[in-house]
Amino acid sequence: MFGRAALFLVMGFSAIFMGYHQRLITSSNGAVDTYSNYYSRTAGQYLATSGANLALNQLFLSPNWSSGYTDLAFNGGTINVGVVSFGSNNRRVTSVSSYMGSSDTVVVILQPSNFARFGYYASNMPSNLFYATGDTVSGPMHVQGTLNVIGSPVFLGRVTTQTGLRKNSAGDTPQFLGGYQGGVNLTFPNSFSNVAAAAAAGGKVFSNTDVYMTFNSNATVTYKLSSSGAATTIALSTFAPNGVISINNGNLHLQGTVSGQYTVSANTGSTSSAGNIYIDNDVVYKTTRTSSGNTDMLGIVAQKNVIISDVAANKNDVYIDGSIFSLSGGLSVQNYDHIGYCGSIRIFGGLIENTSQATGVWNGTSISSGYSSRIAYDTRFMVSTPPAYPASGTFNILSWKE
Amino acid sequence: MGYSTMLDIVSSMIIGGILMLSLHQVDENATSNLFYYNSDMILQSNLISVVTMLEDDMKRIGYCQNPSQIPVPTQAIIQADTSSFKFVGDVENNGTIDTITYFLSGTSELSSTPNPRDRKLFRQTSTDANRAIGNMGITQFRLDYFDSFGAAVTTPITGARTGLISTIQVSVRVESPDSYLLDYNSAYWRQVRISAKNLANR
Repeated sequence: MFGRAALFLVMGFSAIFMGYHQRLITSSNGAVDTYSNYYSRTAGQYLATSGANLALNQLFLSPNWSSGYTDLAFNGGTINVGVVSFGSNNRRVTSVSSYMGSSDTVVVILQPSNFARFGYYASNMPSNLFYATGDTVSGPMHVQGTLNVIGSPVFLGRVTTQTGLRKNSAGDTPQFLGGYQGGVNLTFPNSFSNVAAAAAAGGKVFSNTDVYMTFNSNATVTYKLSSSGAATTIALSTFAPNGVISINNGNLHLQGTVSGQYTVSANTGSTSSAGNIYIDNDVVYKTTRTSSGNTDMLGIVAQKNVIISDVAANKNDVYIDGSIFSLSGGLSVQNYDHIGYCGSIRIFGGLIENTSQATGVWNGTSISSGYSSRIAYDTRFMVSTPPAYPASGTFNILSWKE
Repeated sequence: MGYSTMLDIVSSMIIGGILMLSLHQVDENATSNLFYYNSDMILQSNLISVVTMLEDDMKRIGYCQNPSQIPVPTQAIIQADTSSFKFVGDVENNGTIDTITYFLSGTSELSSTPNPRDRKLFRQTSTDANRAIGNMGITQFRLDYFDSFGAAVTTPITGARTGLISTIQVSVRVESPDSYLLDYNSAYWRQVRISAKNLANR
């Protein structure tokens, strides 16, 4: 009898311990499963991100690449990537990963990389030119070379350079309030033939002449072909339906109030002095700069320099609304070293230039002749640009969804 | 009652006592183990829930499904401190920019639990002003910020200085709300991640 009782006792305890262990194993497995699922999910995310990065690399190497990847085996999982074109030459890259039953999707939207997205771009940064304490740069900035800094200049947007950053001394503390990245190669174009082509296709082209152009706030333009020539006023919708105006083998003298979206350009030709754009007075938007309803937009594209004219109208500050592009020169001031102090060049937009130019004379304490420069970045240029504004031929990422 | 009977009784009592003590010890261990295993499973599940939500939100900093509404990257983070964080992004992926705020309550918010250290983590959105993320047993929610050179950015970070933030280190510790013999289970998670690709996109 006692033997049977002992048997029941052992079997009973065994059953209890089996149930108990089962419970412990369930809990233990649950904890492991939780982390295992998290690991699979994370690995799936990384795979999808890797797929997107692989595709982006291909697109940067070959902008017309569209074949994507099908069932690409990668790090224990698979990746499928599709590339579709939409809108104004935009691209959508969709990367879908599969890893241990987990799946994730990354969608990246790319837009053609346009120089208008920069608050400041310099193709050449002279080695003796430093950004110093007191300097503030607004908007994204790129230097196709080395950025020289001394003290604590402030960069409000993201800064990229091709060959890095050079501090004048180890104690210099530049403030990169939008971040900094070196090793970014974004070459300057050799030409901007697309502007002239767009002007020929649906805009306005002047050839072998200088043009004096005044934008009027009622969306008309008044132009003449010499400083003393007869003026013609015409609606811009008729004058340049697609908003692109090109002066081939001539200079453009510009002023006025812009209502609408336009790009003006001046190209060199057989005349060596051609290809400049002179700012003869303020060039501003009709709508207040910072107004949320502002749809006015201007691109000022010169093959040589964009020059602040030495005229009476410019003796007390110059306001320029728009993105300035200078292919072989920069923003300069006519007679900057002997015109006396004229205040500031106040740009609302951006400045993209080949080489920085002098705009004033610094006497050690202040500017004795010429202008100081102030650039306030127009954030609209991050997602939209003036018509036919020069592009880099590559893409930049507009949005990244994980 | 003979001597041998007395001996049997005493022996039985000793053996029975040992058996009872053993059973009590087994019960004690079983209860303890069951508590730890169960609370560990719940704890880690809570940790993953919090972490997943944080990760999903942080990936959307500065993102918008509608490209024309994409916020200026340098202004996508509004305010950042060691235990609070405010940013904008289209977290619902519906083309509307949301303002998201994370912050940690004091311990008094969860004074009802035996754990004296646990707190509520709040996630405020544009449409849900005071939503606590349940009682996840969070005892630490620490945010550290680094600039593009990897240098720590001193907190609090407000205004234009939020643009300095390049990466965010998130540390989360959760503990069980209750203990067994004052021993609280805990789990810890830390990640240094690029705060959001959209901050550096343009």
